[in-house]
Amino acid sequence: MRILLLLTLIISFNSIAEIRVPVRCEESVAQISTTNLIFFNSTEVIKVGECVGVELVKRGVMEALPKACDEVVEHKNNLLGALSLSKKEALQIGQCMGVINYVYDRYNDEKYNTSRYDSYYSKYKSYVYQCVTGMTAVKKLASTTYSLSSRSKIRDVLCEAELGTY
Amino acid sequence: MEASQPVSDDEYSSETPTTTFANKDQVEPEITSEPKNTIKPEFIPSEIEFLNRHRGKLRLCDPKGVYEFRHIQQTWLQSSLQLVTMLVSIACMVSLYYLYYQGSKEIMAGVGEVSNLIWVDAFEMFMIVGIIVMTIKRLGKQAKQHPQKRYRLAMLANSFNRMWFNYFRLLLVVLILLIAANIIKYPEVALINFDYFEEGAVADLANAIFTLIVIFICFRAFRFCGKELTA
Repeated sequence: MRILLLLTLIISFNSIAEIRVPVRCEESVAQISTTNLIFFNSTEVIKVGECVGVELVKRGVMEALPKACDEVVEHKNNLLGALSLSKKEALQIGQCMGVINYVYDRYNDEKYNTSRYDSYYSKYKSYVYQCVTGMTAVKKLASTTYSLSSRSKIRDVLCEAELGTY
Repeated sequence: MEASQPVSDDEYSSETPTTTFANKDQVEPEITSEPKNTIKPEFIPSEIEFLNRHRGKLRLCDPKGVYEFRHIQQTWLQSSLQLVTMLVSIACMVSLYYLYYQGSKEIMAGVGEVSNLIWVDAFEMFMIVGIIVMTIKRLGKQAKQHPQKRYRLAMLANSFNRMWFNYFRLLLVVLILLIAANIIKYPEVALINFDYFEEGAVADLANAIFTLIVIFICFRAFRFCGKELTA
C-alpha cells in the first residue's frame, strides 16, 4: 500500500524533470506561446531564441548547438522562405545567432589568459582573442560534431588567440 | 440492315476498284458477311451482359462509376458496406493527421513545448477541409432533385474511400523511396534514419510538393460530388 502511494506521488510530480524557463526570458516566452504557427512575428520569436540561448550557454546546459546552426543554413537555402519556417526552427535560429553574438561580445579583443601548457616564451607576450561572426561562425559551429555545452568550449571553436597590437 | 448494305457496297467499289476487278469470286463472301458486323453494339449479348454486370456491381472506391450509374438504386447490403468502409477510411485519415499533429510537438530546453508545424501544413489542412465541405454542400443541393435515396451516401463513401486509397498508395511509394535512398546513402547502417530526411532545404521543398499532391488527390476524389444529376 505504501509503495503504491509513493509510486502515485512520484508519477504525479514528474513535472520536476522539465528544464525550467530562464527567469530573464520568462515574459517573452509567455508572449509567443499562444500560437503554434508563426508568420509576421518571426523576428520576435528569433529574439526569444537569442535570449534563451544566451541563458543556456551561461549555465552550461546548451544542447544541440550544431543542429540549431544547421537550421540557419537551411533557412538561408530555402526556396519557400517564411512559409516553411516553424516555431521550433525560428527558436533554433535565434539560439545559434544569439550564442555567436554573445561569444563575440564577451571575448573579442579580450586578453588571453595563458594556461600552464603554453610555452614559456608566450607567457611574456600579450595575446588577445579574435572571434568570427556571421555565416563563417555559423558554418564553423554547424560542422562540429562534439557537444558544445559551455561558454568556453564555444569560445575555443569561434575564437583564436593572436598577438596583441598594444 | 437493309439500308446499310448498299452504302458499304458503294464504299467498297469506290475505294478499291482494282481488287474487285481482279478477283470477284473472293469479294462475294466478304459482302455477305458484312451485315453481321453492322448490328448495333448495344444489342450484342456480351455487351448487354457486361452492362448488367456493371449495373449491380458493388462500388467502394469508384465515384465515377457511381455517378455514371446514378439511376440504379443501391441495395441495402451495398449501402451498409459503403457506410462501414467510409467510416474506416475517415478514421484512418483523421488518426493519421492527429498523430502527425501530436508528433510535431517537441520539448525544447529552456522554452518548453514548441510545435514543428509550418504554414504549408496549415494550408494542406485548410484546403482538404474546404474541398470536402464545399462538395458536401453542393451534393446536398443536387441530391434534392434526385430520386435515388441512398445516392448521397454512396457518393460520399466512394469519394472518401478513393481519397484514402490514393493517399495510402502515395504514402507507400514515399516510404519505399525513402528506404531506398537511405540504403544508398548509408549502406552500412542497418536501422533506417529518417532524421536526415526531415531536416534541410530539400526536405522542406519535398514536403511542399507532397502537400500539393495530397490536395490534388482530394480534389480528384471529390470531383464527382458536385456534378449535375438532372440527366
